[in-house]
Amino acid sequence: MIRFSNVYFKYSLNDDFALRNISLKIEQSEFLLVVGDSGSGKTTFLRCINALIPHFYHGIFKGDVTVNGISTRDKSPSELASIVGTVIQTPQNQVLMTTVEREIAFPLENAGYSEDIISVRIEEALELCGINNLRHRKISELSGGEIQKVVIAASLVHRPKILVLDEPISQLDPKSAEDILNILKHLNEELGMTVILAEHRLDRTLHMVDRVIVFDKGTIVADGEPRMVFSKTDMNALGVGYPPVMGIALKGGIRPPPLTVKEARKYLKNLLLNSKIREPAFRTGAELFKLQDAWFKYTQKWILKNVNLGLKRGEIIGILGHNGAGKTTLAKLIAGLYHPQKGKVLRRKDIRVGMVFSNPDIHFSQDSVEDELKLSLRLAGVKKDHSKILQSLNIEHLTKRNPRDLSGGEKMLTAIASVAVSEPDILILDEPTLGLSYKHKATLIEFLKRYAKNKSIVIISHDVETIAKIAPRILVLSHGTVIADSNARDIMCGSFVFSTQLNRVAQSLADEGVDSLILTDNDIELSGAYDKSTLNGKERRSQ
Amino acid sequence: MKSGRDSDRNVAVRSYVKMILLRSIALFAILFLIVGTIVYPSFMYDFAGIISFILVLVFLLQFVVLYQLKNYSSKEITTVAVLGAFSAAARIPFASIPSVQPCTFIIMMVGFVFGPYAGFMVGAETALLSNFFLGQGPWTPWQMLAWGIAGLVGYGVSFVRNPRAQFYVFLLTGVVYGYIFGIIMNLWMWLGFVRPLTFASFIAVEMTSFPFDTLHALGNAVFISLFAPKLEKILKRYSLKFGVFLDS
Amino acid sequence: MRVPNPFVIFVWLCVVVFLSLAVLSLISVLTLFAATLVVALFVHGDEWKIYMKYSTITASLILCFNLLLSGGWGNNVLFKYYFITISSESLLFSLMMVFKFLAIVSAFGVFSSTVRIEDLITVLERLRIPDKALVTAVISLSVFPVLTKDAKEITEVFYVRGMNCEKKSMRDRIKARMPLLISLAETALERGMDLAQTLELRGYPSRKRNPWKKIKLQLYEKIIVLILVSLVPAYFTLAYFFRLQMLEIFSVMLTSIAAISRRCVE
Repeated sequence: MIRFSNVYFKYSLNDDFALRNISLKIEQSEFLLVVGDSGSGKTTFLRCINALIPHFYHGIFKGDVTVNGISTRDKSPSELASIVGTVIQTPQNQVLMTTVEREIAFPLENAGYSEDIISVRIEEALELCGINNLRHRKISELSGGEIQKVVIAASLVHRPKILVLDEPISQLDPKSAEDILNILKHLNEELGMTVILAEHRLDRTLHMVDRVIVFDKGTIVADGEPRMVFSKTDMNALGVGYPPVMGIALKGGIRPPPLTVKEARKYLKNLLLNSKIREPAFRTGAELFKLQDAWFKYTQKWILKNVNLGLKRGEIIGILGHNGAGKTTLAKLIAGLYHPQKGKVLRRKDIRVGMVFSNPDIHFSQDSVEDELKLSLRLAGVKKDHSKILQSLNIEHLTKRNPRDLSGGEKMLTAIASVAVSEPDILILDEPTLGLSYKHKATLIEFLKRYAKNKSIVIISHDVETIAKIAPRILVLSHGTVIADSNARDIMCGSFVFSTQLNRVAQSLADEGVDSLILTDNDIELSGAYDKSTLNGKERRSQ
Repeated sequence: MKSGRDSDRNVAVRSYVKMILLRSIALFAILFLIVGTIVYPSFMYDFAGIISFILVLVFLLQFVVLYQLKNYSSKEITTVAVLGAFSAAARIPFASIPSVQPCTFIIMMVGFVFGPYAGFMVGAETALLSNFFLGQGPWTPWQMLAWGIAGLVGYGVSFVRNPRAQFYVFLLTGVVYGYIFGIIMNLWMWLGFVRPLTFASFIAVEMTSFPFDTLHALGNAVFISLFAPKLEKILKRYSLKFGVFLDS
Repeated sequence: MRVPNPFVIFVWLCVVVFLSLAVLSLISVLTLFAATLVVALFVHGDEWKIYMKYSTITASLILCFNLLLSGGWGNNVLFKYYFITISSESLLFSLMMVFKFLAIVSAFGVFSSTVRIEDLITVLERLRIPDKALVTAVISLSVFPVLTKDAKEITEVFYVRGMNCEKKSMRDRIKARMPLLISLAETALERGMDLAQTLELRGYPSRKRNPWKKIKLQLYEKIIVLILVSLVPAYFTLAYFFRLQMLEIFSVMLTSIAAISRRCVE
């Protein structure tokens, strides 16, 4: 189906090869997951399949890629579109027309199909993605998840045999991500389509796929069945990480490791029963900010209703909630961008607030990371050395680079650096982990923990795993109302939706004596005395 | 393969026929004017509104066809589209300062860096887009023309080779164009709805818009003096990075 | 919902604009204006009201220019004050110019409140406007809302970072916003590259392009379009050869036609 033979590629403006000596074969109907740290060559690899390399992105291209027996050198990406469909990361950057219907018709119009065929194909694509109800909607009114489905539909109209997706769910909320993955699963299982997916979120994807390819510095370092690849390779060192249940299983020496909560229930029971729970230690200081009975609206509808929130020095609050619950609006209220129409805001005069938006691109206006930080310091009126923050975020090698040329994860870290450099007393982060690789996420978590020592942090995220790792206090918003505001453990341990993968395992094993307060692998201490022989024979056999 | 090449040739032939057709429409319009004036002496005067309106439309169409015939890649097409949207959206941060908008300056710069077609199209697009939200009307074609010409004027400045002189010429052009823009926008009102068509009446119309035009010109001067080198650098960097409009 | 055929409305708009600019008598202009009014009533256009509201300033300017500059030609001088002379002839003439303008704006108001942007594109496709310019326009139309959102967020980013935009002089106020503009430019171009990749994958530019949405005209709609288009040469012939101001009749016809076209379309 797809064959790479000794492929090398170097972008024309870069010094290093992005791909080195890639040789591989992908069979029809495989569901393939491509993982790797950011900048490892995943995206470049995918661009070779849909012929964007060498036709759209220019550079040095050696070796040969054949798709369905056709060499990508001979066919342009649009000619290949009838074999390969493509979806990329940002939903909004992949729509060209104004309505859903036109967007899906556009590739067919360009191929010169007749009216009848176009109508049939549109219907088919809409049905496959389950978005027939969106048919006449304007794209500018849709949510990111809906747009991404439209994009998938538009790439299916040529009835491709292969679907290439470059982090399609990294910008989406969990529900939309789940929908998209279900569509992919359906396409793969029912229509026999080859799906090639690059993604950082392993806990949602790993159990679905047949094969994993691991990239590192432009080469393939591992290739095979997921369970095998992940137990043989040190994924943390490669910047890929493990899904939570798998990580803990491997730490405890359980092989083969479980992939889903269902499997983990069986495999991890003894491990969890025998481990000690760490008590989280956190302390708080004086109150910096307080909202009292705040109501807020943009136009007609109240976005926030009767919100009470106090924020103390040294506190990290995680804000959870569905799309459109008012999370970002609440953050902007804390940042002082808006003022509530009803209610009171009490903010100490001498404090500064910083906010990092979910799209890092909009933070940059200078030619180098260094200048960006200097501008921040100047705007905030603070005199400080800017290099320290880059070190603590592990991006000091980017000092002289143009922030526009960085990868997605590096951009986010740079944006955070540009806000945090002036050390605001309250740091607000809106979805900071979107599209971040394991390595960047780990760096960020470390940084935030240190930062919160004498400042406070508000973090909005759908990423429950990250919130559980850093935020001792959680606030849940629903339709503009605070429905819960309490200790992270109290909220997560009594919930299915707002809880971590490991916690769901612990919750389901609660009847059998496992402490359901376990949220992440940070919470438990694998006792040194833990012995693999405690696994009983029955469980061994089941492996 | 053979049929593909044939159809390619057909398309090329067809596009040239279109071009010739368009030229002949323009010619015919001029001929019509001359004949009209001979048969009906006050033809030009009585129908100044309609004649000027049609001429503007023909001029715009001319550019649309020329843009079609240019062999632009997908990258260049989206660049034009995105710059048009950017130029229209760039009004938003300045909405709180009356009569100040960066559009004219941005369009001139696009013409300067990316050439006349990109400049004209970005200008026309800016007018079209902002009017989709402010209201389309008979003024739309004129505004498209006025901003389109800003792109052409920007391209004209690129003929000045000396980099230092270039900046000052650009600055001066920007200031002057603030007034020219006003004149073009006044023309449609003057030709269409004001009689008698005398120099005095034109001056009278011009006087009402003079304060706004001055603000426009001043705004252009400030934008160019503060921002021109920066935007030029951004566009050139982009052109190199992605390989768009390298020949212009 | 019953909507008029966008193609018919487009032709109607062109003819009304053309005739309004061409006619030279107050009665004809008033009839044309009345015709647009009737159509506006039929389509319940909210946008039409906004159009009329904002056109009053320009309309009063036009009135002033024509009254003051015409020098009060004719015999019935109504009013004289230094150099300002207003005669009944010049007043009528000025009113004609005002209603010319109002008729055109009103027609555009009707057009904007009935025809969606997507339909306008279909109409232009049908009129064989070269597709590259159209596709370019549609792409910018689709990124525009994204960029306006970016622009708002960028403003917020810089506000939170401590930018102070409220300074005294115009130069300082513009200067304070420079980083916003740079940031917006870069973000827009960055999005442009992803869009270009998508455009490439969707097979554009293509020489085979065949627009999918076709406007189908039923027989009576074809007849309406034919009548509307023939009004233009008819006006010139009649006005020139017979010096007849037959337009009133035509205008009434226009109104009814437009109204009918609303009734019958699905």
